[in-house]
Amino acid sequence: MRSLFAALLSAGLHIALVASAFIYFPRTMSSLEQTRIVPVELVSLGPTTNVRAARPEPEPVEPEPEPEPEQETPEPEPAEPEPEPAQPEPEPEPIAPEPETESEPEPEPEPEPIPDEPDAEPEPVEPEPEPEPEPEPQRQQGLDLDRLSSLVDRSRETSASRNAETGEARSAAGSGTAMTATLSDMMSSQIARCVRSSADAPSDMELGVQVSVRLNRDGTLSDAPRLTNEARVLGSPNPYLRVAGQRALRAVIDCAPYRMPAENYQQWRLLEVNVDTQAGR
Amino acid sequence: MTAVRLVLAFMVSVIFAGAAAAQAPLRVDVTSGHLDPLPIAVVDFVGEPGLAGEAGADIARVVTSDLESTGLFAPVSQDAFIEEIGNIDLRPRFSDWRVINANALLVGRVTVAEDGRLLVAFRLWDTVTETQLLGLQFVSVPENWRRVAHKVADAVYEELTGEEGYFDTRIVYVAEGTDGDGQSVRRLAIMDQDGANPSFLTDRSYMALLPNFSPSAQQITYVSFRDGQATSYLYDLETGRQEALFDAGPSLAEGGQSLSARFHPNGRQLAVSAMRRGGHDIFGFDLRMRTLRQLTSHPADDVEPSYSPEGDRIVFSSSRGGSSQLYVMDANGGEPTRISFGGGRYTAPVWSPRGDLVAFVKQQGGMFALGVLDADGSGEERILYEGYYVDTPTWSPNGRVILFTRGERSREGTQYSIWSIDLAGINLRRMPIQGQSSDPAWSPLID
Repeated sequence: MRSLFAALLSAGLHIALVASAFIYFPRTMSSLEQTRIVPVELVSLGPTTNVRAARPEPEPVEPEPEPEPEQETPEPEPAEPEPEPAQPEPEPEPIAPEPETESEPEPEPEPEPIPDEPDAEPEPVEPEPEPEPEPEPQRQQGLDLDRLSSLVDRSRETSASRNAETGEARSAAGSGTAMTATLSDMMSSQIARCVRSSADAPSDMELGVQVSVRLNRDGTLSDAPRLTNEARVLGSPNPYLRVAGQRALRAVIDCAPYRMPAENYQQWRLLEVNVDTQAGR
Repeated sequence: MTAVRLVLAFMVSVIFAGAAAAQAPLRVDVTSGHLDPLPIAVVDFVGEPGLAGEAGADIARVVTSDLESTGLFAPVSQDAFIEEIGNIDLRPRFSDWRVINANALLVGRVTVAEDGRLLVAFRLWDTVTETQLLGLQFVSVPENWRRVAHKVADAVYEELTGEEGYFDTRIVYVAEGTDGDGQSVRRLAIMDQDGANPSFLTDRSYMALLPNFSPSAQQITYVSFRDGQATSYLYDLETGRQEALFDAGPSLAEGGQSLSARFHPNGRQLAVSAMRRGGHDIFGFDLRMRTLRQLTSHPADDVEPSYSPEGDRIVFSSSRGGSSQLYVMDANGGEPTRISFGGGRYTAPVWSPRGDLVAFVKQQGGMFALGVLDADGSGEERILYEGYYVDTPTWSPNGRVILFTRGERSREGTQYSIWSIDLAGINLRRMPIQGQSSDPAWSPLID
């Protein structure tokens, strides 16, 4: 029992060491990102790191880019009844508020909401998300020790030892930061082409929004981008902020697919896109 | 065993945390964008053949024209449409609209109710995110279809820009011409903001100038000029009744100063300039009591007052510093603060409905310019347009567009017409008015 405990403790410490590498490197990268305009530092780090040059990324694990699913365009059923309103049908307009008298020849057109999104048609089948090269661990309801053990083993495989065995480079902190900055700029310039600027909104408003984006290796969106604080943005009493959120979402979708280097896929698979077109004016 | 499990769970959580950190998203900052017009497809509103069908096509045409006129939208030609919309309660085939580069899609339906009124329902779709942005219905008498169209356009504009629309508004202006004897004739006229439904408000027997709308859009003030005497009048657009308010003085003939009266945002007061003891000063005029209260007292001329949207301050032009410059003071009077500092003469200040800017006319070196500057005097002024003659700017109710009088030299003398320009200095357009025109006044949104 004691030896088992000692073995587990030893394994635990090893794993903690590995995990600390996972924690440390990304933090280093993000903190150095601010210094991306000083490439000299990054270059000087190169020779002192014992990191091999990156090999060309092996062919994607998935056999083929997933074929576009047949776009389903169901014929509208002719005999379809009126769609069920998402919100209750407003009462017959209390609209003759202005009786049509001679002195009031122009009754005001009063707005009244019509039912929201009609769900008359079945939604087109969502394309299956592309399989990721390194599948994320599935969430389990309970604590499955066997599964966790296997994850421990896998994490060992994917750590430094694996790099040494396979020769596959993991970017050093310096080169990773430089690449991160480059990737970030590549994405930024592509998205900026599709963003409608808020530069014509009043200047004293905070109109920055953040969009979470998940991409496939071929640069397509792997699922619909989401606004961080979606309710706050799209439900904002400030119409300019609401529109800025819509414009950011529309731009991220509109500009896809993105042209990005496949060998760095892991670095741009997940994006946190901060759109503030007033910041640049 | 429990301890083992706990240790194992801890290790695993550490691993997960590490993995999560390793997959931290790439941060991308987008700080620039474009200002290209948004491509939008406006489909003829569906309706039974006859009244509803005709109104549907007409409404779509007016909405398209409204949106296009802003310079912020690029309506897609209906010839390019692929999907035929027959039922607006079905989701459109978004790919059909994206392929023709329509980012937004407006569909609508017109039906005739039993009482003969039109029911106009419409949906605005974002074809990129494939979401419905708007779904509304208006009810009106058939003769009112243009107003319905403007209200639809306002709703679309507001949804897609975040700004209040300005299409359901009217413009009062001065129609200029000559009578049979070659005498100059200036009559007040009114039209929809897109130039439709023009009609005269005053006759040829006297000259009418410098109209301004009340906050309710139901009244206007203007200056009538008869026998060398300028008098401020109040004109009720509902009833056509008008009444003289006070004598504004003779200096129209002498110096061409603008003596227009402008409403306080509360609609119960006016700010005017009137001559007292040889010079012009700013006065507050109480519409109920019919009393003038002097707000400035300076030997130099103080003219052309305009209230801030909150009604707490007044901007006006004054020659108290030598040349004519712009000043801001408390609405109850007090020491004014100068806000314009450039060379040349600054005149015709009008406070923006947004409150942050003042539009003005600047005369320098034989040329005129239309510009805006910060109402607090900070920052640089921005010139939006320069030309042979510029006068009488007026803001759209959302503070996005300025109408102004533009004079152009010709063989027959200076030709006056009304033009609009976007606050960004783009989208300069001539208002579709037959004959010469000047002195535009843009109404608030009509309730």
